[in-house]
Amino acid sequence: MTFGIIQIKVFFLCLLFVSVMLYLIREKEMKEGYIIFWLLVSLTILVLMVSGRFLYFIVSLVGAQTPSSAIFFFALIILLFLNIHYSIKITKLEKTCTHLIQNIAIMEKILVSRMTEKEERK
Amino acid sequence: MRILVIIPAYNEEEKLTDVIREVRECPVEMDIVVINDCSSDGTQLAAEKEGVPVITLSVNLGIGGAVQTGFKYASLHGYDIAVQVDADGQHNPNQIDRLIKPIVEDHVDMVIGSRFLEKENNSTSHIMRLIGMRLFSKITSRVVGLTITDTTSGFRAVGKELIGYFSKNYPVDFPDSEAIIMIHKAGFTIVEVPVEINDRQGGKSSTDLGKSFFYPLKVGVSILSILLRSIKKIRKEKP
Repeated sequence: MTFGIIQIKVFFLCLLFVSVMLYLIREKEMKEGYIIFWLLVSLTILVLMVSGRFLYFIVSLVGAQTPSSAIFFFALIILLFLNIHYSIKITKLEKTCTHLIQNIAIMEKILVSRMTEKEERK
Repeated sequence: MRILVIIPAYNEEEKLTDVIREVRECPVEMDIVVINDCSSDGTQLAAEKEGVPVITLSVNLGIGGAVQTGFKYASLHGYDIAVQVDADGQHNPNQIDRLIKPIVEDHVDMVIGSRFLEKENNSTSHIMRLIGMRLFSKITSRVVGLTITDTTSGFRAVGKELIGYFSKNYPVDFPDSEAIIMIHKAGFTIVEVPVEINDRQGGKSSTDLGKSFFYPLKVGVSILSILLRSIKKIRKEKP
């Protein structure tokens, strides 16, 4: 197994990627589920880089002419589904925000009314 | 019977006072709540000066989100009927009794004030807007199997059961057609009564058809989503 310049670059890129993920875990900036997904992505890239056979097996599986087009194909599919997943998440978050904003406004109104009533009684 | 008039308002300080006073002049006894949808002008102050409760949203939710806040308030305080009246002076509060009548007498769940049911409409809306309104009415009528002539009318009254339903489920993005189809599929009854609707006298329209190119497309998708949900429901109900 020989490592060319490209493999070394990809390795360092993966290393940087994993470091960023570990930093995000430490700072609690991202949920564990997302971290696992991105760690799996970097692991897949590493496996593809190290194992040329595995890469060519995927290329033949898709029927692509070159390894790069196979990688782009899978990357696009994964990113497309990831975007749909995020759209669902955003919709749920928007719904939650709407209900929270509405309920806070109503509670605030009730609280102010009760405080005013109390003051008037005094 | 306790009635609540919900007035959603976004930057409507010019007309809000007149609307509140007109509602108060109605022979029917009604409470009022103003939903201030994060206005940047003196909407809140105008309502407070009139001594009506104001619920101020900290973020602009749009007409649907504001109206649902009103339904939540009505549900929480046990109101029997909730009437939606626009803050821009388009609706004549002296016609509220027309909206309430079918709910009180015939136990209808939702009454829509329609400007197209009788030919006495004096609206001078833009032609494109009128075409859009007619189109959505045709689509909605076809979907629910009832003749609904004015789906975009915000002059509506709902009964107690529907207040509770709307407080939990309300299509906040496109309440016009979607709300009608949604409640019809849920088994609620809808009728239209003729009303006169004035042209806007202040503020800006929340559903300006000309402003949004994608508006008809979005409404179409929202109608499709309800239909798909109802198909799913029917499949579940089948043994």
